[in-house]
Amino acid sequence: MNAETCAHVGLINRFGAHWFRELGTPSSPGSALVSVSGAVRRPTVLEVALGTPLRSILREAGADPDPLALLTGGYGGAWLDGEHLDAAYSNESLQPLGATVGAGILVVVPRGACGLAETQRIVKWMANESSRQCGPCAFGLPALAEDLGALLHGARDPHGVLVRLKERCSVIQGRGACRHPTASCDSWLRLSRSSPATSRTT
Amino acid sequence: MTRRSDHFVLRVDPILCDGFGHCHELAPELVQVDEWGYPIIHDQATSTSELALLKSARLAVRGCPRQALRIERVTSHSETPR
Repeated sequence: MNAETCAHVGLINRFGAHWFRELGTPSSPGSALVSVSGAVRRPTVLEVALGTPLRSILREAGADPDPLALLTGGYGGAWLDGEHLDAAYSNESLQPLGATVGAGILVVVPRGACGLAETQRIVKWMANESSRQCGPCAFGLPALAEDLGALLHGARDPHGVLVRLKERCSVIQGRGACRHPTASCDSWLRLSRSSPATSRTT
Repeated sequence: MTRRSDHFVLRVDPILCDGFGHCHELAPELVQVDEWGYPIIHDQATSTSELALLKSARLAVRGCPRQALRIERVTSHSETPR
């Protein structure tokens, strides 16, 4: 339940479902707010019809027209490779590519950037958000960020680090006082499945 | 008439827990520790007829410096929600 949904409900109530469905696609009707940041003219919130091609949204935001990758859906989302810019901004178009609309966030990563460094920054941020009330979160999440840092700075055994990351996630998940450590591990596992995140190690 | 549950699981309060590890020392069959010293509790229910395990679990509960552990009586089909 959020402000955007409430606003939509108010408008649908006033102007009708058919009016709402004039925008968007049959399975993703209406418009959506999307926050676009990263390699853009300036961070911005756009209201777009669902089903708009990603390329158009990025153009509107003054984004790098040839990015390395897009983070879709926020930190709990997935990396979309830069070659998929013709995909539409809707779940039915993004899901086959392993992504979703999610929290309505697009972060543009330019070609000179390192996908792994950006992923490490996300995991480190989530570790810093820990309230430090329980061991698995207070110690486990910084350990994940450290492992990713080791990969970034040239670990001797990158494959071993990736294995340890996976093992640490399975140890941390489900043992926190709240869902933050579980969700953070889920985030890393999801991000790691999309190639921009591990482009340094392949 | 309520059916008496015949299994138990150890439960830890992750906030009270400070990773002393006494639970692992006192009930190694039921509790492992992660690399940071925090308990990984076997989440499969144990039958209360396993008297040695029940005794270990009670020792672990009593031995925790933070009183972070408790024994929860469950039916055999209960599992720790993850």
